[in-house]
Order: sequence, then C-alpha cells, then structure tokens
Amino acid sequence: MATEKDWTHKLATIDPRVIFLLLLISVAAPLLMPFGLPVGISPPTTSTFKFIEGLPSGSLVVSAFDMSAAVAPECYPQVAAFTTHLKNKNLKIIEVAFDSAGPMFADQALRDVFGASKDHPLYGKNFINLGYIAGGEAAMKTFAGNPKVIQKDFYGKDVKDLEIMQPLSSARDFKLLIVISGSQVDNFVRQFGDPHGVPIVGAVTAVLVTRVMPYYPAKVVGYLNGLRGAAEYEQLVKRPGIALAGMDAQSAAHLLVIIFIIVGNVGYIVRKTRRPS
Amino acid sequence: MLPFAPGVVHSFILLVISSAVMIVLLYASRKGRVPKIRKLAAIDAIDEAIGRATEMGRPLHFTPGIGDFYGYDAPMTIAGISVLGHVARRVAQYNTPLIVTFAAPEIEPVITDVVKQAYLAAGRPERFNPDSIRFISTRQFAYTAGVVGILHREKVAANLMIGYFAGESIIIAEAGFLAGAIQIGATANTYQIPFFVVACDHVLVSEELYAAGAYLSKDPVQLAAITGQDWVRLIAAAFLVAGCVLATFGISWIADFFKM
Amino acid sequence: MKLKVPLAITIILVLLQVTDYYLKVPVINTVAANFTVAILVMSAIAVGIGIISLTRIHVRRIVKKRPHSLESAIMLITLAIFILVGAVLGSGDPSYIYMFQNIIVPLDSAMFSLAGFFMASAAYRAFRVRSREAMILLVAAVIVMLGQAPIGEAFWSGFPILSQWILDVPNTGGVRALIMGIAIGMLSLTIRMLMGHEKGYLGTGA
Repeated sequence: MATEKDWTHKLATIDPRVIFLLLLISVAAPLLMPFGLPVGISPPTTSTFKFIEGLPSGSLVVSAFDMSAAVAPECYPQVAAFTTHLKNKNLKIIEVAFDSAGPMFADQALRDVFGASKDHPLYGKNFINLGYIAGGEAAMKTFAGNPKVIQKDFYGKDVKDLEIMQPLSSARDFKLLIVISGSQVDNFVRQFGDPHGVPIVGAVTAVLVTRVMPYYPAKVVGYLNGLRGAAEYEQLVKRPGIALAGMDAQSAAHLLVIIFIIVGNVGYIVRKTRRPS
Repeated sequence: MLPFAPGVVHSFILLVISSAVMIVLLYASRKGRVPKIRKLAAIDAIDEAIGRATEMGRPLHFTPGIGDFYGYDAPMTIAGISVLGHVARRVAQYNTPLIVTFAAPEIEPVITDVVKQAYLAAGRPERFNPDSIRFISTRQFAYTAGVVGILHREKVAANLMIGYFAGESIIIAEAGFLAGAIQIGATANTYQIPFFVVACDHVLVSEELYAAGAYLSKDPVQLAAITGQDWVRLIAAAFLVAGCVLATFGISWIADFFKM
Repeated sequence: MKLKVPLAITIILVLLQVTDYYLKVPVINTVAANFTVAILVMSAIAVGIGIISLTRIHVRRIVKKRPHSLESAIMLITLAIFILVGAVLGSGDPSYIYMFQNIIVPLDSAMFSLAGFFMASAAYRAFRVRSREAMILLVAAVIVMLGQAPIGEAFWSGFPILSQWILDVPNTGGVRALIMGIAIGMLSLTIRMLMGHEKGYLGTGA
C-alpha cells in the first residue's frame, strides 16, 4: 500500500523549486555548450519566405510593432531575420508601433540590419520609423484609413515631404503587413486585412500561434512560430543568430518538461494501482 | 439599395439576424418567459472561495486583469467588474478582507464605485476600505510583479482572476497556487485559457465569462441574452454543417454567400 | 438622467461606428473617422492618468511611511528620470534608448521568463492520467512539444508532421469555434449595454 513517504509519493510531489533549478540548468547549459541539432523548416515559415520573395522590388511593406519589451527575446530575432530579407529584396519598409515599446525595437532593427537608422542616407527613401500611435485598434483603423495622419516620425522629423510617404493614400498601398505581436493578430485582420485586403504575416510568440492559425492561409499568408520560427527564418536568409543558438536550449527544456511529466505520472499511476479499491 | 462597403454584405445580414434573435428573446423574457441556463461550476465556487478566505481570516484577491474600457478587451473587463460587484457584496456580509488589483487607471473610479456600492447594499458601508483598491501599473509585467508580491506577502486564501489576461495569466495563477490559494480563472482570451485550466481549481471557458454576470444576477433579461447567444451559435453551426455538406457535392451557395 | 445620457452617447457612437464599417457614405465615414481620432487623443491622455495615479499612490506611501516606501521612492525617481530624458532629449535619443534597452527590456523579459518556469511546474502537476481524455491530452502535448523542438525531429522525423497536424486540424478547429463563440458573446454584451441592461461600467447610481 502506498504510504506518504515512499518513492511514489516523492515522484508525484516533486518540489517546484527542483523543477525550476533543473529547467534553469537545462536552458543555460546548451547555450554555453551547444550540441548543434539541425532545425527543419516548417510550412508556415516557408510560406512567409516565399511570399516576401515574390514581392516586386520597391514594394511597400509595413512592419507593425505591437510587442512589449517582455516578448523581445522571442520576437526580436524574427524582426532581425525578416528585416534582413526585406533589405535583400530591396523592399521599402515602413515601421509603425502600436505599443509604446515598439519604436525602440523598430529603431534597433534598422541599426542592426542597415547599420544606422535616422542618420542613414536611405532613411526616408527606403525605410522609416513612424513611432508609436496610442489607441490600440482605433489607432490601427485610423492608420489604415490614412497613413499620412502621422505627421512626425519617431525622431521628431516631419514626414510629409519624405519620398517613402508620397505614394500612400490608404492601407491598400501596402503590399504586405508584418505583425510583430505577443498579444493578438485579430485586430490587424479586422482593420487591415478585411477592409483593405492587405496580406498579413504574423511574427508572433509561440503561445499566440494558435490564435493566428484560424486565419492561415486565407487572411494570414504565413507566420513565424516564436523562437523556432525565427531560427528557421535565420536559416532561410542565411543570417544565423541568437534564435538558432537558442534551439538547443529549447530542445533541452522541452525534453526536461516531458521527463517530469512522465515521472509524475509514474508516481501517480503506481500509487493509484496500489491503493485498495 | 444601401451603399455597402465591399465584402461586408454577408456580415451585415448575419449581424441583423443575430441581433434580432437576441432582442426577441430579451423582450420575451420581460413577459415572464425566463429561460434556464446550466450550472456554471466556477461561479458556484466563488462562494466556496469566499467562505475559505473568511474561515482562514486571510484576504480574497480579485483582479479583472489588464484590460480597459476601449479595446477588444473591454467586454471582458466589464464582465469581470460585474462579477466583482457580486463578490464585493458577499465579502461585505462576511467581513472578509478584500484586495482588488488592476492595471488600467481609467477603470479605477468604476471599480471603487462598484465595491463601495456593494458594501452599501450589504448594509456595511463602514467596512469599505479604499486601500483595498490597488492600481499597480499600466505595464503588463510590472502589474504582474505587483500582484505576485501581494499574493505571497498578504498570503491570500482565494484568488479570483476574472477578466482580460494575457501572458501574465500563468505567472499569477501559479503564484497563487504556490501561495496556497483557491483559484478561479476566467478569460475569453483563447490562448490563455489552457494556462488557467492547468493552474486554477475552477475555470470559466471563453463566453462563459460573459454569462457570469447574468448567472449571478439571476436577472431574467440577462439570462435571456445568454439563451440568445446559444441560439445564434446554433445558427452558426447550421451554416457550417450546411456549407460543408453542400460543398462536398460541389454546391457553393453558402461559400458564395460568405463572399458577398 | 445619470443613466440616460451615457446610454444615449453609447448608442449614437456604436451605431455610427457600425454604419461606418458597413456603408460607404462619405459624411458618416468622415464623422466616424474624426471620432476615432478622438479616441486616440483620449488614449494618449489615459497614459497621463496612469502616471498621475502611480505618482499619487507611491507618494502617499512614502509620506505615510508605509512598508516598502523605499521601493516606491526608487520607482518615482526612475519614472522622473525617464520622463525628463524623454521630454528634453526625445524618446528617439540614444540616451533614452540606452536606458530602455538596459532597464526596461531586462526587467520585462525576466518577468515574462517566469512564465516558462511556472508552466513547467504547472504542466508537471496538471498532466496526470486521471481519465481517457487526460491521456489523449497528455499524448498530444508530448507530441507537440517534441515537434516544436529540433530534438523531436532528431528522434523521429514524423514528430514535426504529427505536431503540425495536431495544431492545424483539431486545435485550429477548436480555436475557430471559441473565436466565434466569443464574438457572439461580445455581440450579446453590446446589445445588453445598448438596451441599458448591463450597467456595471457606469458606476454609481446606474
């Protein structure tokens, strides 16, 4: 008969602090000593890559930063990877933020990929950082209806005479909208996808992916699934970075969680079978 | 003919049908036809949670999450505040310590009013403590850190999370578990529901959150609105099934309707 | 009167926005767009309300010498520095961005990373084979976890394919149904608000 102190009870009631410590080790160790597992490319990432590949040179692409600083470790590697692709394809990039932290990451992406942001000679011609618009979905609706409603960029510069803003009359002029978000994509589908027919790509956290899938592939033409999606895209654009480096850690962490689940169930099942009916 | 925007005619027709069904049922309820809705175990568990907190002499923590009144999250926040009114009336009766935390400053006057009115309605206005209403921060994880700190320091006995939650849901729920609190979670933010399911004792899944206010008030009109939701859901299911069957035989009437 | 005026405003604005979405009538579209811009202004003001509320709460804590008043002081000093640098130099200035990258990003990321740890302990506790449904859930969770990490592919090439199928078919079907249910629930709540049956958000006297 199962007793309180026997091994089955210990297996079924492991102290959460032990789990936390082992998880920390399983994430940290592969970052210091990577084992280099190959990373396959999933269909949604391939769809994203192919869609951007198919855009004509000079097409207007909007990167909508709806991300907070908390999701930066997952979403920023995606941003760096696809911004590299947009640069390689000579596409025009309009960066706009619907979260107050967004413009900082938009600026960082320009500096990481182009080498400079507002001081770059092509700023205002090939790319621009419009900064943050407060108001959530109302801001999205306003921007989609008239992108020129923003009069100054993130750096305080007047935008109305900038070359990249000239051809804009509504969201219909965007050939693609890339949503970088940790919270939701539905609002972008409602305000850009449905009324204006803008194709959308989701660069989202892994937990949000289940919310993006119902719209794929009709309204969302592709999506990047968290850090794994970033790692896949880094391979496709041949720019290995922090996401690929993090895949070994993700593997170790997932394996550890599965082991704990199995261990907990072994203890639970054995205790259950020993208990008198 | 009305000048419809492209691609929205089907949506307008469905909106009119759905609204008509709900309004007809609302008016029918005024004439005494009160529908019954099934038990919501998580709502019934609220009294259990309040009882536990009262017996242990430890606070009950309530949060409507990080939502406000002007976004996609507004209905969830409003639904959460409706439940807060009921909870506040109960804790006023039993003199249970109450802590309410939230992340949007613009909802503070409404929350304060709702709680104060609840204490007044319970005949215990002197027990209302304004310091129990705590605005933490507008930033999601600053709010999370504040709530986790409260759960541990104040050793809450019951943790009710009813409203709009995002990434902080699992952090707050697990912190509540580690603090030994009984937990009820409710949100309509679909991808957060699994986190509440694994970490909470009772969960309201998606639109059950909206039904909670009606269920608690037992108002016939609100109950009728919930029944209206179910009828509209049946209509949506009928469209789905009919569309699938017709499409299987190459008939695209339903598919074409959704392109209008 | 306390109920009728806010209700009338709600009804007019809801009908205006719904009409703007469905109909192409220039006058209505223009008025609706202007009201939407008004919401942007109110949202920006709401940020200011947040700052005022935070300052009021924490100053009160310091003045009344309540516990944790040192943390409140640190918070207020940090807030003041960010506001001063942002207002004087602009939020696009390298100094502001440096502070953001080295204070806000690590703090926010650290808090979010707790979700990973807590999810692991919650999964260990919750994924027990108590029933047939729990067993199916457990197997699906293990397949998806192995499919999403490269190690699953290293064990067996079928894990990513099975994992994607679970996410694409049963999971997406369920989420679509949930999204539809939530939309219907939101419509029901809106109708109750418009008919004056949902008054919680109006506060005192409603």
